[in-house]
Amino acid sequence: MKLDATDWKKLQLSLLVLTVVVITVAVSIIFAQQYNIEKEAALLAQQNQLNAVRQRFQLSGLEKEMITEYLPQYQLLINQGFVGEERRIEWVESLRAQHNEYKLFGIKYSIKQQEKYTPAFASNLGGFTLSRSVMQFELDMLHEGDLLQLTESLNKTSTAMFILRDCEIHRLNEGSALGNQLVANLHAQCELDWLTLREPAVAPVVVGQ
Amino acid sequence: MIFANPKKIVLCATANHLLVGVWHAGKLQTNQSFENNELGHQSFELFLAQYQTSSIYLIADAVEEDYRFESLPHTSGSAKHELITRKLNQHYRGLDYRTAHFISRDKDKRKDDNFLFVAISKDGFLQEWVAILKAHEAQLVGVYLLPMLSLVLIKQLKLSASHLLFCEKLSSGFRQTYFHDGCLRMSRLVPNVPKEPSQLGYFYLVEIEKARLYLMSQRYISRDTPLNLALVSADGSTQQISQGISQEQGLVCADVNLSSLAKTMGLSVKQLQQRPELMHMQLLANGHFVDNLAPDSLTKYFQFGKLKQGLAIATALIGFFGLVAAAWMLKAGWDNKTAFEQLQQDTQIQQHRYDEATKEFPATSMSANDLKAAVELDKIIARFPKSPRQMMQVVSVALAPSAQGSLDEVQIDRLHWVLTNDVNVSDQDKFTPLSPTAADVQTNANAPMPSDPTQLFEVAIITAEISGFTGDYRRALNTLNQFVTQLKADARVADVVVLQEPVNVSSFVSLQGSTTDEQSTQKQPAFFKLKIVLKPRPDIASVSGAKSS
Repeated sequence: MKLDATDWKKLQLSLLVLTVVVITVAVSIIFAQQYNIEKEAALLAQQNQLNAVRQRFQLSGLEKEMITEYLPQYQLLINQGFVGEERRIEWVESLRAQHNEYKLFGIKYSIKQQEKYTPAFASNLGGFTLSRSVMQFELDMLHEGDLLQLTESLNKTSTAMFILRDCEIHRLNEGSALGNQLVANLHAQCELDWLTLREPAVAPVVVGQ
Repeated sequence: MIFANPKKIVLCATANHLLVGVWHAGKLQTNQSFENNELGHQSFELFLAQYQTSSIYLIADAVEEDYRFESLPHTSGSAKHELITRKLNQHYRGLDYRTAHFISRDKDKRKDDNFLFVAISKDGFLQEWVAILKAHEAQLVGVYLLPMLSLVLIKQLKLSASHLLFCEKLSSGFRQTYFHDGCLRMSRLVPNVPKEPSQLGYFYLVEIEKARLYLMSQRYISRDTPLNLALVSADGSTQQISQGISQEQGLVCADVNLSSLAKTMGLSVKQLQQRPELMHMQLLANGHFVDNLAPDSLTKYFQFGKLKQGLAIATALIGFFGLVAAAWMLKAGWDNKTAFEQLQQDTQIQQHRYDEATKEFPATSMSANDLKAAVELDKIIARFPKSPRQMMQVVSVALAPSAQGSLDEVQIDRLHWVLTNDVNVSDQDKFTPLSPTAADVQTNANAPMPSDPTQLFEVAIITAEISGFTGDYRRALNTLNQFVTQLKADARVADVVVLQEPVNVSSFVSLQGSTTDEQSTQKQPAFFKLKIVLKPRPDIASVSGAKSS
């Protein structure tokens, strides 16, 4: 059957109604689907939140034990300076004290700008942020024991955590044995990281958003 | 509009009048006849105005029919349509009412298709009625030949003779239709039937003989072919005539009484006696469609109505199912919302319980996990060596006098200690001059040592020289080898690599010197370079990677 212009004109209303119905149905389905997806996602999120809160409640006994166990140690870390703001003056003072105590030759040092540090060995930092300040120092030594005394004493008396990463020791008068006079025989250049932990910002627990 | 008018109008046009029947739900509601004159036409127009939206079926019952049996090569699709159209044009050029009725396909030879081409050769008796239908834009479904409905009738009556001459007395005349193996081949109408019942027997006899002769002339049957006759009547009134024909002609002649069939179809015998065509009209009204002879232009309004109906049904279905789907999704969303609110309440209850429990906790703003993480990290860092003491001890032990001899001539000039997870650490030695071939040796020596990111190693690059070297390279090499052996003997050492020997005797590098070196007062120093890798300490072995600068 071939349709002419008159036929198309007669079909106009039917086609218009069909188009309106198709559009209305499509819009309704899209709206309903979107509504369903949103509610489904909210339900899933709420379910996860409930599970988390429920688990937290069930484990509250264990949590209490952990807090009781770790809180004193943690407070000690705060006192030592590992947690909180870095204490550069104390580091320098400690270095100076070692110099005086062991009657070392002069120690030249430089501390770089603090930076965020994400080493592989610290895979679980919780909510903390680990930062480091790289310190380079060099000194002349009578013998290699001076360096060992310096870094080990720093560790014992220091108010903060550090990692000694690199040390280069070389003889100042190559080809000759160490002398018995009080002159520098060796020179050391070392690099260590002063580490500090920053506490996470305390966020209030929101229930049923 | 969505549902078509359930009433069906079936028309039966003869040369003199138009019989009209109105069917509803398969039952004949009313019937009336219109004369083929101006008054009849006007009356029909008035009648038609009441049934604008009803489907109309038109049966043609006239003398002016033509039947041609022909075999065509088997085709399908558009080729078949084209072939049939060409044949119709060849046989019935200029005729409006024509069609090709498929009979069968040959089972042997070319397996041709057998068609019966039929047409109304003069449609004058139809023109006025069709013009009225067109003027009213009536929903004409099609135009059908009455003998084709007789084919349906014999199937209903289960008449299965191979050669059957089906004889019916209609209001238009006496119609004889020939069927071969249940397929229509030919039909003829004799309009002038004697009114006197006494003359009817002789009339039947003569006309049947004429038909038989015609069939023989067309070679449908031979003289010896057993032709079966079936005389149809509404009430068995032709029983005597059929017996007479059987006796006179020696033909098998059966009397077919339509009363029982009519009863099952809701037609009364009286109606059928008055208008025998009602049986054929009833069959058509019941949905027994046969081939349509009408051109597309005549059935256009019906097709167009179907199209509109299809659109309306599609609109309704899309609307209904679409809204049902949307409602179902909304219902699912609403259920999710209700469940969400329930979970929200449960969460608040659990949170309240937790808050109550935490009141007994030691006061801190930190979570237990964070506290633990900070303490554990402190422990990890505390385990790292804070000086190169162990490395120096290893070197000292190796240089100490032993059963293998003394290594007093070895003088350490430089020690570069690194705490790293990469044992292939690079070393920039600015203080000790190396021979030009040293770089190659270092590269080759570093290559086989794989770095392990899960281990933490103390690595030392030691630059040393043989003191008091007099040019005795063999002795210098022996000293170095002894030093390396002593180092490797230490359980704390994982690996020792010679990065540079006092003299490089490799075949891949050039060697220069003088045989008077031993007497020379200007002695060349004999430097060598080692890389020592210590095994990770048990307490820090599990810690991965210290150096990541």
